[in-house]
Amino acid sequence: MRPPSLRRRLILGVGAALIGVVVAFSATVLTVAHRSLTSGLDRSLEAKARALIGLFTYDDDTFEFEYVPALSPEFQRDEAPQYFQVWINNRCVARSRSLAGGDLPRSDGALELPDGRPGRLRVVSTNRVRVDHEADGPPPFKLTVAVARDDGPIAEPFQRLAALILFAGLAFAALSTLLAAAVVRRGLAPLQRLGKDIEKLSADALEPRLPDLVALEETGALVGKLNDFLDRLAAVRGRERAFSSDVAHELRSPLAALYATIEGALTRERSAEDYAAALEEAERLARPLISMVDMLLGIARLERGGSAEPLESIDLTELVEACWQSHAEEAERRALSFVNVVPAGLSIKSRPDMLILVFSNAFKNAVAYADQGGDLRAEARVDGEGLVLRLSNSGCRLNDEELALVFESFWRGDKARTRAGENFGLGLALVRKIMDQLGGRARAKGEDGRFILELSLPAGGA
Amino acid sequence: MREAGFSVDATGDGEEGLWYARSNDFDVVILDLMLPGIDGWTILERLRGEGSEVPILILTAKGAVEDRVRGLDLGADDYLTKPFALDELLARLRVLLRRRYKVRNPTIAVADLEIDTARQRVTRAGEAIELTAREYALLHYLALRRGEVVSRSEIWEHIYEFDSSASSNVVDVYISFLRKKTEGPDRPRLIRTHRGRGYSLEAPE
Repeated sequence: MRPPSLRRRLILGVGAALIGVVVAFSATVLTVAHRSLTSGLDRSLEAKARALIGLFTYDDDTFEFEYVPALSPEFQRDEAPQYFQVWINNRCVARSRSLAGGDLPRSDGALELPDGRPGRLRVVSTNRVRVDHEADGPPPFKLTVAVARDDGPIAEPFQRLAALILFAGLAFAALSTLLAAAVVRRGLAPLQRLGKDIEKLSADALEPRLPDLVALEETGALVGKLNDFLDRLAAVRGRERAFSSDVAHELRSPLAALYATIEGALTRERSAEDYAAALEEAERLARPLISMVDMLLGIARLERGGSAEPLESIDLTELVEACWQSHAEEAERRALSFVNVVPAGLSIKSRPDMLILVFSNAFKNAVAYADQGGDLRAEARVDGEGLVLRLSNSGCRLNDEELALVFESFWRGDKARTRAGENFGLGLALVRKIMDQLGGRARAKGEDGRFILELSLPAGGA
Repeated sequence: MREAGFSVDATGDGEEGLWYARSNDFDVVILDLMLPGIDGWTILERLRGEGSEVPILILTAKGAVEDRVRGLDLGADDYLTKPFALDELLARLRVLLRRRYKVRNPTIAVADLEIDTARQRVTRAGEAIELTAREYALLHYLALRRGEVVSRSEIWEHIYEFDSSASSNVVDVYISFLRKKTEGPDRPRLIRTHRGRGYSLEAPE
C-alpha cells in the first residue's frame, strides 16, 4: 500500500479549500442578488398597490373605485396576467378579471398564482384615501389592496447569474487547483532534493553535510537540525574509532611487556626463584590490564542500563571516609592532605556498590593528578533538588576545553599519556555513567587552580 | 535467594550454564535436568568428567526413585524435587556450603563473634550486630574460610554476581564497613589485612 503523499495532501487540501471558498462566495453572491431582485419586485408591486389605492375616493360613507381596465392591461390579459384584489374592512370590493372570482391571500411574500406560476404578493393596507369633502377624522374603515404577479423578472436573471457564477467558480477552482499543484510541487522540491542528499549518506560516509537551505524558514530549520544530528553522529563514530584505537593502544604496551616477561622466563631453564620472580612480575603487569577490562565492562554494562542492586540508606560521611582509605597510602606517598568536611550524619538512599565505585574512582583520579604536596577536599550540601558532593584537588592545569573532555573514555590530561600504569582515563567515564544510572549528574570544573568534581543526586534517592 | 544473602548467576540455557560452571568457582550449582540446549544429565556428566568438584544440587520435577538414584550416582551432592519449599532449598544450600568449607556447625564462631548461618544473625560478645546483605555475605564467606587468606578477587567472585562491575575498592570499602561494625576499642580486630594478598578472619593471637 502506498504511503500517504504530502504533495497529494497539500494539493487536495488547497483544492478543497479553494472550492469551499468559491462555493461560499457564490452562495453569498446569489443570496444577495436574489434578495435584491426580490426586493425590487416587491417595491414595484407595492407601487402598483398604491396606485390602485389612489383610484379610490370616499364620500358620505360610499366608495368610488375609478378603475379603468383598459388602462391596466396587465390585469386583463389571458397570458401571464397579474392579479389584484381589494378589501374594505375585510369585505372584498374589487378584484382583477384575471382572478376569475378567486381570492388572493392577504400576507406578503412568495405564493403560487392561480395559474400555477410562482409569484410574489404584496399587500398594502391603509385608511387614507381621497375624500371629496373635509371629514371629521380619518375614515372609519381599512382599505386593503393585494397585488400579485409572477417572479419572472427575477427568476430569469437569477438563473443566468447562477449559471455564470457556477461556471466561473468551477473554472476558477480548476485553474487554482492546477496552479496550487504547480506551486506545491515547486515548494516541495527542496524536500525531495533533501531526501536524495540523505540517501547518499551512510554510516561510514557522513560528509558532505546537507545543503544549507536557510533561505526557506521551514527547511532551513529542518536541515539545521539534521546537520546537528549528523555532527553528533559523526562525533560518535569518531569516538568509536578512537575507542578501538585507544583500547588497542592501551593494551599493546602492557601486553607486550607481559609477553616479554613470560617469553624471557621460558627462553631457558631457570631457577625456581627466577620463575617465581617472573610470575610475580607477570602478575604485576596483568593486574592493571584486568582493572582496565573490568572498567570497560562496567561502562558497557551501565550503557546497557538497569541495576539490580537494591536501594539502601547510606551514611555519606562514612562512605567517603571508607573510600578514601583505599587511596590514603598513595596520597601519603605523594604528600597529599585530605580534608573531609562532609557533614556528619548526612545520609542518602542509594545503591552502595555504585556509589563506592563513584567515590573510589573520583579519589583515584584526584590522588593521581593533584600536584605533589597538594590537597584534596570533600564537602557536601543538601539543597532543594537533592545532594551535591564536591570533591576537589589542587594542581588543576586543565582549560575549559579540556574540562569538557574529562568524562570521555581514555582521555587524560597529559596528552603524551606518560602517566600510564593504572590510569587509563576510564575512571571519570565510569563515574559519569554510574551517576547517569543513579539519576544524578557529574560535572567537572576548574576554579582557582583546583579541579572540582561535582556529583549531584536527586532528593528522592537513586 | 538474593534476599537470603546469596549472589546468584542464573541462566535458562544448558550450554550457557555449562560455560558458567566451567568459568567460575561457584560454591554451589543448582541444576535443573530439563534444560534447552544440553540437558542437566549431560552437564552433570561433563562437569564430573572434567574433575570439577563443585557441589551440585539437582532441582527438578523428575521425582522418580530411579531419577534420584541416577543423579546421585552421576555425582550430584543433593536432589530436590519440585514443588519444593524455598526454606528447604536454602537449608540444603547451607548444608552444601558447610560441607564445601568443612564447617559442621551452622553457627560459626571466631573468638566471641558468632554467625548463625541458619538465621543470618551476627553477634559479638552476645550483642547483636546489624549488617546489610552484602556485609553479611562478606563476613559469612570470610568465616567459612576462617584462618585462610582470601584474596580480593576470590571475595569478589563469591559475593558478587558475574554481571557486576568488578572493583577491588568495593571489597576494601565493605571490609572497612565490617570492621567498623564488628570491631572497636573493646573488640579486638578479627579481620586482618594481608598486604598484597587479601584478608582473613581469625581470632586474635
